[in-house]
Amino acid sequence: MNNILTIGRQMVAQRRRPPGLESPWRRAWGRFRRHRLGVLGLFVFATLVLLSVLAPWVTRYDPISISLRHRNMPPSTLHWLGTDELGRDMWARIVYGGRVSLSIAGASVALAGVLGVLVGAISGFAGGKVDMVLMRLTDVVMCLPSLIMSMVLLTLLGPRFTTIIIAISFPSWPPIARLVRGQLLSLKERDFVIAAKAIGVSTPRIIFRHLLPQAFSPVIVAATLNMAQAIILEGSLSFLGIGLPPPTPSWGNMLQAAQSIQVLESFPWRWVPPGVAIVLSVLSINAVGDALRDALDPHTTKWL
Amino acid sequence: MMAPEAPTSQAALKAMRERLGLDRPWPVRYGEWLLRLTQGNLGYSYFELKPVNQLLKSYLGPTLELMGLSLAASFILGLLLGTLAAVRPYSFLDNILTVFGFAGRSLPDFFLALVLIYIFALRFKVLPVSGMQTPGIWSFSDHVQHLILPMMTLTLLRVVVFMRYTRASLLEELHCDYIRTARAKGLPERTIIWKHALRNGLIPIITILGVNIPILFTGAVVTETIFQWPGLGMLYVVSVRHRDYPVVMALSLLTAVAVLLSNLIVDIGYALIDPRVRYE
Repeated sequence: MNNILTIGRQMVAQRRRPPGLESPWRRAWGRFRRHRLGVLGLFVFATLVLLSVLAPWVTRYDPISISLRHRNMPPSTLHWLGTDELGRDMWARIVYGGRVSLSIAGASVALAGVLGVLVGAISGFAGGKVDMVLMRLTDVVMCLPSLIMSMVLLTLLGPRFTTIIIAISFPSWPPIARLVRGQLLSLKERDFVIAAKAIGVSTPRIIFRHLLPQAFSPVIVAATLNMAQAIILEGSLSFLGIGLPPPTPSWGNMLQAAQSIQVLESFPWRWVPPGVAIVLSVLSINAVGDALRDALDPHTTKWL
Repeated sequence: MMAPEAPTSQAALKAMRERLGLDRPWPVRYGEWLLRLTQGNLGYSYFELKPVNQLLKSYLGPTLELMGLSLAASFILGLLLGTLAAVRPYSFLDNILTVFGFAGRSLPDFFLALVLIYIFALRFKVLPVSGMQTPGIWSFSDHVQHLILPMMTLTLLRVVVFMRYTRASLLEELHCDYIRTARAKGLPERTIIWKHALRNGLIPIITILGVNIPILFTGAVVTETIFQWPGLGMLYVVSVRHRDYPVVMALSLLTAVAVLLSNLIVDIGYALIDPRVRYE
């Protein structure tokens, strides 16, 4: 008995890094830095986030105050990106809209990530009937295209900041749950888990302390690429008129102006900037995601 | 977003609820919906005031046409471009295509559609802005002109998917032993790629094609709305906006059935194409 305990402790201890060895995160960062597109993406995305966070300091205009004497003005030194149909400054709306769009996308990715990891961990570790039920649940959610799923959910819940986050995260947790489940299925058969069980480590601790950290890197990559999808989803929903109601600016509902042919043809400064903001953020996040995938798990590309 | 609420008297509201059967609890109504479904009846649209079956039939045609054509175009183009990229990996052409693929993956459909309308319909005025045909004109060429822009939007976005998978799959095949054997016995490179490598490399691509089958029945929600293409995707948006629940339910059901059926078809197709796959 004592013998088994010693072996168990040794096997758990083997997972700890001997002093002096480079940490896996440092190694991953080293690989990430070699990915030039990824570094550029990180820089562009950081700039976008920074502009949004510092919105009150990068513009002196209020994004929702109306000035009817300055309607539909082309870009000038006064209004860098012109003004919209109510005379609101476009640059101010872009940076303040970035707060809304990026925080909605970020929050829904976090929500989907937490939900996906939890469901996947339970499913993968419990196995059997629990696994069966949870996986059929993911099947049901994945039956509908994500935009349609979000659209229907959002009309049922009504468009508010929180409901949009829920509506966007709902279609994106099942893929993460499956990813985590797949990882846990193979990890839980490994010797160090048996060893941990043998020395009496509790099940939640095994899952959260020993198993999940190993499944972490593919989840991070998936979440990064999800963020790009979330920005597109928010844009699509707002563009279709079922996102955040005006006057709150978001990149998607600013683009909605382009549904009028007159705006599309004569006032390009009213729809190009929000579109470019969305494209830039999606491009940069995808670049970061690709670089992260190469840096964190060079062997797995299966889930893409 | 929602239909403006007209002032309605309480009595009229109650009468309407009773007439539409909305006064009963939802489990009862859901049971009835299921019962009618078994008879092939999807209910009655609140907004269009038509049977849902009839509505679906009239919107299905345009969606099948647009999605079918663009799916076929992106499959063929993607296969071609992916093959070109895989034959000479890391060449100039391959790098260009990789950049194109990366951009295509990140471009949202709504923005691409707006840019295409701006360039081709508003600046150069060579193609119509939206719709399926000019009112009053019923000619084939007019219809094709209306088809080009939405098809271009959908094809540009989907071709990159097929291209990426073709390139990856073909590259893997080209490193196999049987390709070396084929080269060793002096087969022309064209035969090796198009007859041997591509035939095996095609298997994962067929899966991607199968996964895309459901879009034939869901349509492209955003693209159809922007181009006012009267397909199922546009119908989805319109009925969600009007809270026309019978239509939303019918469309969701149609989508789910399409997804499940295409998964089944892909599984069966797999076994047919690849003799290595056996199901118990």
